[in-house]
Amino acid sequence: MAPLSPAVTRWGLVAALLGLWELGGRTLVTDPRTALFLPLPSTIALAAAALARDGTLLAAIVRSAGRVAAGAGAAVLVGVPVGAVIATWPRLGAALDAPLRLVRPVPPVAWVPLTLLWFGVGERQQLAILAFAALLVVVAGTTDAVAGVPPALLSAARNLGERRLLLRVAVPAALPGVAAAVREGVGTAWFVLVAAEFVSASEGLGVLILEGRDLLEPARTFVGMGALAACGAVTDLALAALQRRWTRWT
Amino acid sequence: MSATERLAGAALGGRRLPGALGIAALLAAWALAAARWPPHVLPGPDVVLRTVLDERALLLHNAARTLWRVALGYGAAVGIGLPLAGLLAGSPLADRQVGSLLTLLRAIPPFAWTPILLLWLGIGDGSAAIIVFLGALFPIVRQARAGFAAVPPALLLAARNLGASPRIYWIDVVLPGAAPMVFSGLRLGWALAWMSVVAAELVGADGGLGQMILDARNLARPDLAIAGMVAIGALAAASEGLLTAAERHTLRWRP
Repeated sequence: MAPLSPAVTRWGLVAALLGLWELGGRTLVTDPRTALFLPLPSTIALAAAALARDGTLLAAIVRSAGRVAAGAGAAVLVGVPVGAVIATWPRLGAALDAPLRLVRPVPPVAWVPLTLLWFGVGERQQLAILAFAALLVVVAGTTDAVAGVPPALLSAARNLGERRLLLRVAVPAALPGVAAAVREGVGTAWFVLVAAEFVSASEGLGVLILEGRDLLEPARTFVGMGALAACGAVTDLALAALQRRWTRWT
Repeated sequence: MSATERLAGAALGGRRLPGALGIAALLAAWALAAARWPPHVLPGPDVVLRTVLDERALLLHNAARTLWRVALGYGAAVGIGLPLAGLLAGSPLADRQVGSLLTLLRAIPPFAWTPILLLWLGIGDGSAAIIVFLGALFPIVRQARAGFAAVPPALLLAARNLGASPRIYWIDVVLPGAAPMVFSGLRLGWALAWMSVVAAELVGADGGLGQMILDARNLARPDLAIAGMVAIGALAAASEGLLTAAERHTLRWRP
């Protein structure tokens, strides 16, 4: 038997499932009400094309991506310094770390109702919840990265007469871990985004997904879910590429 | 007590006081802020404590609903995820085929399934449990698969050549070798299970702590919302502690 091509061995199952879904839907589901609840892959593709053509999809993506960028950006600006402080000064670090430990078991999405009470429905509430969720991840990751810099590396550089210890030794040594923390923080923001948008938002991918249910157009829901997954994956791949570029020496 | 243990103890002691001060500072800042804002915006720690005590019946009732959903979804994720990881580690073809399917599905945040599940199944324990299942499944499969792949091949060959029965091969050789990674997946999955159940209950569920805290917001009862968050955090932390203890007990043979 000739060996199967890599594309077949990798995507064969996915293609077969999609084919079964389409065929099964066309032949087995005759009741139009059931068909309404379970859109076929072709219906979803058509809905995606329609939503892309009238600009709805792009508007939703821009809105959601903007929220993620702003929320995660704020989390990085605050979280990286805080994490570095926690790792560098043991006593001050313990004072900052203990309250965070107390807060960490509460899933960030559980803050949605409280932030709604404090900020009201609107963009500020959305940013607050995304920034907070990403902040916890970025602080934890940065703390680990900075605490993981081998002390021997620092003393070796000091003994060899390096003056700019922080800039030339400590920062490059911690950078790969910090970059990973930033990536994880952005991923968390994409994750939490849907939950925050479901509860209160006027536009965005989460709203698109929710509208599908409310308008009884499940195809719209699937388009939104696909776009959300694609956005998260693309952002992660882009950040991974940046991470490799900036930490090429590792 | 060895020298290292004493050193570690001293370091802990050195960090315990600042840690307690940090928590005290947080509580003091909360109390001060609460004195400035009306209680329907930010109630103080004392008010929240009283709410926890007064509303304990409500909290317990909703906590039981939430725990049941987590148990259903997480149990299914473990029951399906571990054998699936074994299959992926054992068969390269399955690894590529199912692996690519899992990669696609994993990119979708589990809570994004809520609207479609509500449409299909309606509001109930089933929808929430499936969200929990989806949240916990991917980390469990990923870590366990890596764990199975990390078992030294020499051990597997030795077990096979010595004629180990399938039971001994899987239970006594493969599982212990993979256990550290399996546990790491179980812990990651557990954290995501809690996040997923809260998100699912926020969007639409009949009862549960997530639903309770959203209702509390609609009733302008931030004290009840915070009490619910405290309950969620306490349950998540306590169960995580149980999981860590189980891990330590299971892996006590490790150096």
